[in-house]
Amino acid sequence: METGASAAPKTAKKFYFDIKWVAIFAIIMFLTVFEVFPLFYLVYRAFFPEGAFTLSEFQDVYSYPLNWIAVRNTVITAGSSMLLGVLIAFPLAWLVGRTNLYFKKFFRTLFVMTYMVPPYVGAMAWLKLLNPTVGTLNKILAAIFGLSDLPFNIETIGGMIWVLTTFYYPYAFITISRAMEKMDPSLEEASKISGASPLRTLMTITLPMMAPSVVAAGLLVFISAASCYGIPSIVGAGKVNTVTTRIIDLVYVGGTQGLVDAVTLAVFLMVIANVVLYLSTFVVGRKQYITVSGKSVRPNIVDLGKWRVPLTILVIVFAVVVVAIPFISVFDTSFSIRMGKTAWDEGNFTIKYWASLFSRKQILNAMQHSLIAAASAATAGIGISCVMAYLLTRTRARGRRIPDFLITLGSGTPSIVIALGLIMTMNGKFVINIYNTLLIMIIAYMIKYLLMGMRTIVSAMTQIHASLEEAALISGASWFRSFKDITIPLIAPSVVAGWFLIFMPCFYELTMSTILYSTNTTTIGVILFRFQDYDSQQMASAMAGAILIFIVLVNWLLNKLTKGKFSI
Amino acid sequence: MATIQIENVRKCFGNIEVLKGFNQNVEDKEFITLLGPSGCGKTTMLRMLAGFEKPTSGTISIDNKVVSSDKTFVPPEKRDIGMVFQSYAVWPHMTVFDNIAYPLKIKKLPKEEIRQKVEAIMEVVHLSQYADRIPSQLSGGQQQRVALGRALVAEPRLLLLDEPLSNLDAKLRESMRFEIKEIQRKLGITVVYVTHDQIEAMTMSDRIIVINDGIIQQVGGPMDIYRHPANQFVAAFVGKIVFLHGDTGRGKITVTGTGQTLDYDGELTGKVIVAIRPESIHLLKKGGILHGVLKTKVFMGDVNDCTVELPGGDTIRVIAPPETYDEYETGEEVGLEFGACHVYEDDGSDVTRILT
Repeated sequence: METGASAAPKTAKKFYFDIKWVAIFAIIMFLTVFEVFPLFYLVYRAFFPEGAFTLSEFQDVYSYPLNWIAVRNTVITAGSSMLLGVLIAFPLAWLVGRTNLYFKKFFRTLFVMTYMVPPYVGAMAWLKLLNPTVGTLNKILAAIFGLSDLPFNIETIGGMIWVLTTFYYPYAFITISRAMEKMDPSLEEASKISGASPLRTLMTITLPMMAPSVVAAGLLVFISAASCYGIPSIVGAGKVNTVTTRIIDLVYVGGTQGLVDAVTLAVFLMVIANVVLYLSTFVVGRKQYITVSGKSVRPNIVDLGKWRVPLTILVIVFAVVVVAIPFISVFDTSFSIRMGKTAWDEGNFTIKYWASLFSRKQILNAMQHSLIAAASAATAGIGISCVMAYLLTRTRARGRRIPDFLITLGSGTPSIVIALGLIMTMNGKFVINIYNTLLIMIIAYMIKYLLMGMRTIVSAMTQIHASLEEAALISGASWFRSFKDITIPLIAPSVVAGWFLIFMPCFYELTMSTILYSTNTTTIGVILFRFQDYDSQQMASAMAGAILIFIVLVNWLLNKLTKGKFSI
Repeated sequence: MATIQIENVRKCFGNIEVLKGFNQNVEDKEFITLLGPSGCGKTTMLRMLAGFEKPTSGTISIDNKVVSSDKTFVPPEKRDIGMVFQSYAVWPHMTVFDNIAYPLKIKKLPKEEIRQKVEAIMEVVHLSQYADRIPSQLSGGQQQRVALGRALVAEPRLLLLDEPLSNLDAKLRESMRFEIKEIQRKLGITVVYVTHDQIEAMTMSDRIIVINDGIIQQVGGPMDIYRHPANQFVAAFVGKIVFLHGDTGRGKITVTGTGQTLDYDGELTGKVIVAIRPESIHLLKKGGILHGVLKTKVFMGDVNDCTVELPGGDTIRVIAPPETYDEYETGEEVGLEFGACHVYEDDGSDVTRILT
């Protein structure tokens, strides 16, 4: 990370104006070396497997039935989750944001918080609940309805769609509620005063205005589901393959041919990711009608009337099925000696798995690695985010949009593609050798999650009117003093929030770690996955339970630190 | 306490030239206003005085010391200037006291002296009882006074105000006008004030600089600007104005379309424009130099705001004394007597050409 942005200010202290250029250049260099170059190399290897251009590699990989079915499965599962996710998220966002639903504040926190839960936790829970032979929920349902066969089988495409939907709809929920909250209520009031009924207002004003956000939300769910590895890997259990599980299989097969095959398959993910990125930034993004106004917007609240109680019950049922049951199931498993029974059954209760969390060397090591990697990525990431936010909101420095674009590109690229690119280029073949180190993971994490931090700080900086800083300058404060006295105190809560927004997903990251780890750099995600697949689902559940508790704690801490301004 | 010298200052943003050669001096203790429509360049000029923008070319000096030129540039923090921003820019994370004390803390004054000075200035801006409040607990007018207090506390040689009253309601705006003027007189500082509101400019300024399209249109005292506008733009922008097109000839101006004439003894020939303030036109039952039909009348309390249609269809506005509201009926034939008016050459297009 010699090229990191933090190094730049020291070398250029004398040149007040050049410092921006140095910073921009440093960030561009970092992203070029670790993001752009690996991605290009990946594409290059797919089309030039032996150094000469050929499409035969493509033909071979995509005509191989297992791969071809995986591509089909990915499109079906991601597409269905996108539709279902938006169909769930939109009414939910409306109910929680714009009506007098009971407990709506609680629901909002709950649905937003599931966004922070690693998807593989859901997969673990549902695998146990709806296993075709021993699924807990399956058995209960069979008993209630007197069925001879167990009703559900999670290890199918349908099961995968279900888990993907329940764990990716929060992405859509957050995007859509944010847009709903920002919408100026006077636009709807103007429609009502023109004589439109509430339904007509919804159809002709609210929905069209929301359309770009809804499309963006759907695309986000699609690409997240398509590039997810944890869920298909656990739920599919080798029976249902997707592009991501095939890529990892091919990487583990190893050898040059395995890697080249993996890379060729990854090109598919890269292409759809870029299409989605293009659509959501340049097509949908341009159509965004909703702008942040300085005025505090108080959305008008729709009275649900006689529907208030039934709809609240409906949302409660949804929350129980989608959030409570899987999470309880994870905790239940973590306390069970035998998987088939619940922890409450006679003689089946144990805390040994939880105790192992704090004693097993393997787990403690992984925890340490994850903490170091996630904290480093978050700290370096937030540093770059602050510099970028300053450049984007306070300067007209030429070229500042280039790193902005590259950061967005990195975040839009599927984790598996980033990791593949890094593993193929950072092994000493091109000067840099960080193969099998924590550093390669930190860099991968940064490329994937930097955007979260940058967005948070940019929006904070946008809200600070430039005249606040100018007022300090005219009061005689130096630029640095004004930054310290005015800018930093005002953006501090966002910096803290941004740090955690990068830290959390890195902490329990699975997909990239699965490709990049070595025996000395195992992470929580890797170890948890190994337990889930090979050793002990109870141990994996205890780890997942600990992660859930950690998320709640961090959320609470963040709320305290930022005086209620932020929670994840 | 401060004089300002602005020489040939030009400012371009990209290809757009927003100020096209600005030359002006400001005297010590003078209250000078930059007046013009939005986008005319007045705020840019103020920000260059503050040091937030650099002139593309030209020189700015304060107290005969160059602060901006091709070679030198003094950053805003070294200029010893107070400034009130349009958005107030009161720091939301500091109390009223801390906001106002900030410039003194930067100067590293002793604590006790800071306290005395801040309290004194809070007295001046009527904020003494709000010292410990944070800005979100203050009204717009109070926040505005915090900004003013902060700008004044370090006893700057020069105070810059960027449309400080535009976010206030009408009543408050009126009282703040007098307060600002009073404070300036009491402290004896030089003030440069930017506004698009001609009443603010008229009531507070010693001199007004009217700007349009990056060019100074006229410089003068409020009365001078109002009574002797240098061109049609100034006449129309400062106060209300009625323009009548006409042709000169044989000591008369024939008002286009009406067949009626005004006496004229000026030197202009050919097409001209007659500019007259609506309050300088008087309604008459009989006589007068022009005739028309009273179309509308609006009772405003202190005046009666009327429109009169001339033969040919043009209407002109007349601001008449309030009692005329009862004396005249709409539809009535009225005569018009003209007071002081100006005659400009009419070249058909350029209303901002400087004619004096």
